This record gives sequence, C-alpha cells and structure tokens, in this order.
Amino acid sequence: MPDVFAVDSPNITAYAAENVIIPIDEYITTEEKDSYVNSVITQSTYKNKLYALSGMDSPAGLYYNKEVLKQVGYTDADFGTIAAPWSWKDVEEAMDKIIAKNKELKQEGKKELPYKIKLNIGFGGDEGSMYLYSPLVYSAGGSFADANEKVTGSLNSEKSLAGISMLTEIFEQDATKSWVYRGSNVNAFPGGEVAFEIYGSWLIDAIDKDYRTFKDKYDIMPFPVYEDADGNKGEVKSPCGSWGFSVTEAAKDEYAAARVVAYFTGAESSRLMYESIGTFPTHKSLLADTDLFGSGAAKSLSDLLVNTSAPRPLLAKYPKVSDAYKEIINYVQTKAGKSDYNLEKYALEKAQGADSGK
Amino acid sequence: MEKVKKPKSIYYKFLGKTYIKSDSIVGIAFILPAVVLGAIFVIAPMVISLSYAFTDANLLRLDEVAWAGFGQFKRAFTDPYLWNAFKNTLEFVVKVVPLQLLAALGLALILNTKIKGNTFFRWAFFCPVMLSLAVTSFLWMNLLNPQEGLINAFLGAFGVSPQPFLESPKQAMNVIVFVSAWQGAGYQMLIFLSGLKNIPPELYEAAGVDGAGSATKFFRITLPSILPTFSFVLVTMLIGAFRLMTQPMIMTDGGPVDSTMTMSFYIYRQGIKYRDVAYSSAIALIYTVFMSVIALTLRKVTDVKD
Repeated sequence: MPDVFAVDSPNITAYAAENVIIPIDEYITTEEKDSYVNSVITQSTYKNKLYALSGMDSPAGLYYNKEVLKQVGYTDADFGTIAAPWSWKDVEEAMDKIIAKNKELKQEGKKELPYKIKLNIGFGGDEGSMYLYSPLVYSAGGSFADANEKVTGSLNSEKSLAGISMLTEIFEQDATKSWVYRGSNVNAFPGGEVAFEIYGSWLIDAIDKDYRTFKDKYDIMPFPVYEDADGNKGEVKSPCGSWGFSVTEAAKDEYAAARVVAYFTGAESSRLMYESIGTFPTHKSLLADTDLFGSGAAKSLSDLLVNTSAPRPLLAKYPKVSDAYKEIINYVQTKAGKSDYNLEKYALEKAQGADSGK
Repeated sequence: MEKVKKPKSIYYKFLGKTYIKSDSIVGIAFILPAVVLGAIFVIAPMVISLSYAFTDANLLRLDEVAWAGFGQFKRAFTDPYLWNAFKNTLEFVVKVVPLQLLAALGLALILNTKIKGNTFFRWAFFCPVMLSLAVTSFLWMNLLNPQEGLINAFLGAFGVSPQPFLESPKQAMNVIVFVSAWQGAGYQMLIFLSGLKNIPPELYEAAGVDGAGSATKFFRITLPSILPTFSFVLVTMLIGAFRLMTQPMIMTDGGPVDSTMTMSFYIYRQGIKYRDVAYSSAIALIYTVFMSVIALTLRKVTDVKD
C-alpha cells in the first residue's frame, strides 16, 4: 500500500472505520485546518479526528437562464437566494410560465423559449443521485441513517420521503408537460435547450471557455428546497464533496506523508486545480478573492459552498446507502404517476436492504 | 573385465501405462504455461474465494478475517435481492438463448446459399462480435435514447409514440436480450456455418431426386447433420448467458427498479462495491454449484445425442 492515496469524500468514513487510513490532526496546524471550508473538515472527520484533506470541491446548485425567466416576468429580485430560496414548486411554476409564454410566441410565429430542466440524475454513474440529490432529504429535515448507522427508519422516515417526493411531482407531471430534459447534450443549458439545470461547478468552466456570450445570461441559485402543503419551505442544503488525500496505515513516516497531503491540498495547489480543471478551491481565502469569485455564477456557487454545503452521509456502509438512495430516486423517475407507485413501500425495502449484512 | 553399461530406457510406466520420456517432457513443457497461469488466475482465486465464503472478510481488511461458519449462506437464502437477481438471470437466459440460437442458425443458413455479396454479409454479421461489449453497449444506449435516439425517431416516422426502452422496468431486460443476441449471434453463426459446410452436397442431391422439398431437406438432412454443432453452441451459449454482467452494468446499472440486476453483477457489487467479500464469495460458491449442475446435465444430454 502507498503512504498517501486519493480518496473520494464519501468513502473517508469507511476507510477510517476499517483503519485503512490514519488520523492526521497532529501533523496539521490549527491555522492550516481553519483555512479549509467547513464541508472539507466535516466530511474528513471521523470520531472527532481528521483523516483527510481536499484541495478541490464541487458545489452544485440550480443553473437558471436569467434572460428566459425575465421574458416571463421575473426580475433579479425574484430569483432564489440562500435567504429566500426557490422550492421545487417555484421551479415548476416557472416552467409552466415559460410554457404558457411559448403558446403566445408560437401563435405569433416567433421562436419558443427553452423551458425544460436537466436533472442529471444518472450523472457520474452510481454516485450521481447521492451527490446531486441528497439535499432533497436534508432540506426536508430527513436523514439517511441514525447514529448507529441504521438506515431503516431514517431513509424511509416521513421527513425523508417528503423531501424525495418533491421529485415525484416533477415526474408525475412530466408525462403531460414534458418538463424533464432526457437528451444527451452535455451542454444543453448553455446551448439553449433547457432553462434549468441541476449540476456542479464544472459547467461554469465550460461556459467560460465555450459559451462566452452566454456568460451574462445565467446564474446559479441554491438547490431547490422542500416545500410543504402550507407553503413552508425547508432549509437550503447544497451538494458538495470531491476527492482528497489521506495517509495510509502503511506510511513509514506519518509526519512526512501528512505534510504531502497538506501540500497537495493547500491553497496554492487548490488554486492551480481550479485554474486548470475548474474544480472549486477549498480554501476560504481563495473563495473570498473577488478577482476569482467576486461576481456572477462563480460567486453564487462559492457562497453556497461556504454557507450551505451539506456533505453526503458519513457512514461506514456508505456504498450500500448510496446505492439504496440511487435506486429510490430511480424508482421515482420511472414509476411516479403509475398506478402501482408506492414510494413508502419501496423506500422501506431499500432501507432494509442497506441494513442487511454487516 | 569391462562392465557393460545398461542402456537407459526411453520408456517409463505411469499408472499402468507406458510412455516415451522425451514425448512426455515436450508435452509437459507445452502445458506448463497454461497450468501455471491457470493455477494462479483460476484455481488460487477459486480456493481463496471458497475460504472467504465461511468468514466475515471485508475488502478493506483482508488481513483481519474471522470464521463465520455458514452465516453467509444462510443470509444468501433469505436475501430477496439475490433471488430477484437470480430470477432476472433466468429470464435473460430463457429469452436470449432461443433468440440468439435461431438468429445464428438463420444467418448461417442464409450465408450457406450462393447469395450475392456473401463475403460482405459474413463480415457484416460477424462485425458486432469484434467490438467490445462496452463499446456496443454505449452505441445502443445512444440509439435507444428516449428523446434523441435514432430508434424512437424511426418509430416516430410510423406514428409509434417514443418508447422509454432502458428507462422502463418492463422494457429494459428485453432490450438487453436483443442487444446481447445481436452482439453474440455472429460468432455462433460462424460455428453453424462450418457445420453446414461439412454436410455432403450429395445428400441434398439424392433427397432432391427422391422429391424432398426444402423443409424436408432441412429437418431430415441439415438439422440431424449439425446436431453435434447445435449442442456445442447451445451449451456454450447457455453458460455465457448465465454469466451476463457487462450490458446491465453499463446500460442500466442493474435498474430500473432492479429489473436488470443479474447474478454476476450482484456478486460483483457485493464484493467490490460493498466490500463484503465474504458474502460475495458465498453467493459465488452457490452460483458455481448451480452452474456446474447445469453444465454437467447439459453435457450428459449432449453425450446421449452425440
């Protein structure tokens, strides 16, 4: 085994629980630790000890086409913010407004506006659902497991299901309104095929490089929050997390290995990675740099990362829980609106499946 | 007096049979690489897997393994997702084997006639076999895209509404069956074709003189003549079908709603993704026993036919 290896943030807990990686607290100064955003420290901490550090993050939110929304009556003050977020119902309402406007435009023989949402549910294969859609559960006050890592009773709790059911309505109405984009164009949002997209920070980089004229026409608002029947909205929770580095139990010189981790993930490395591949830096000093994150979508997303990031569940059996959640989201996507749709029953089965075995 | 040296024998006896030494050395030299590789990459992993099945082995800590008796086996027999994977695998086998068998035989029969462009068709039908499963899976995923795929565009031209294909629990497995048959039929076609080429043309001529029609010639001459080939293709196809993993892994990730989760994929997921090597090994062992029974039964049936 090497002295240092790369580890994806949701796997840190499992590796730590199995003693594959070792704590690095004593080799990292408090000042260094404090320079990272909270999400990095939270996702890298197991039993109050720090096991990893990351120089890159991938906050996600709701990309929206400002220009299109303004054409149906929205103003800058209407768009969702951390203090006054949009819920899924607000997104649905906006799509309906664009569809109504398109009817007028069609009658006038004018070009219709994009109205769909690109959800990216299958993004990244296995991990996409948990990475992008864990805020559904968090925003409604739900959770993925209890303190003893028992999934049954948490993932299928009333609150968790209420959060997940925000997607139910989208897919139920999709049959008649065709809200959801199902094409394969990775640049459907800047390409003008959709009005909304749930996605991570990479799209900012793609737009900066390949869709420069689109740069001022869009922004990012928080991931849509939960809203109950009385109109009460849930808390803003933003997807986040990326790969970091850990010191393995095989390291002969733990101090030297930990310093390598600190160097790989330090502010300088973090900035280089941001400039090279568009991953978000993980240092507060860099995110506060107005030259880099002073305005536009980059600022919106950095605000979300600093203030609302919600790491994926920290569980030793994370892969099972992630799979169970992916299958639940997949169930909603394929079964919502069908006569045999029973989210409660399916979520219970999947939660029990995640609890089976070790 | 000079001692007469007894000439060395070039023969030796082993288990009551006599062998030539030099021949044996050459023979051993030829099979040695296969034996060594087989021992390292087949026998040893099987033995290790077998031993893990009775432990609590976790992929992250294979150096700390404790005896767990038959616990993993008990768990397997009460795991509803395992039975779902088994049911899906059976569904795949039952659907793909006849389809692929008939497609391969049909294509071979077509190419066995003197049609124009025979060489081109032979290449075209064999082409999918040369492509990797991953490549063809991605190719079909694009073709089957519900919104932008070519197949829905084609169906739309005939007034058929867009189909969800891989996004539907009812259609996904059928799509995988079709894609698998399309990919694999070319290989079996070549085997059938070689069997067909070995049938003496005089048999058909004689049957023609006796007034036999095409159907009679097929059922009375062609089919009985290629029966050994048919049996070989059937057995290899069945075993291959029971091992299905790549297509559902790439095209559907076992979904939607577990509708394409197969045994091999389930074993892989438990062992690699969930790191539960012990449980994965236990299921693999059960499945190996099941597969062995199937293979031996088929072999017995095939021997009788031969």
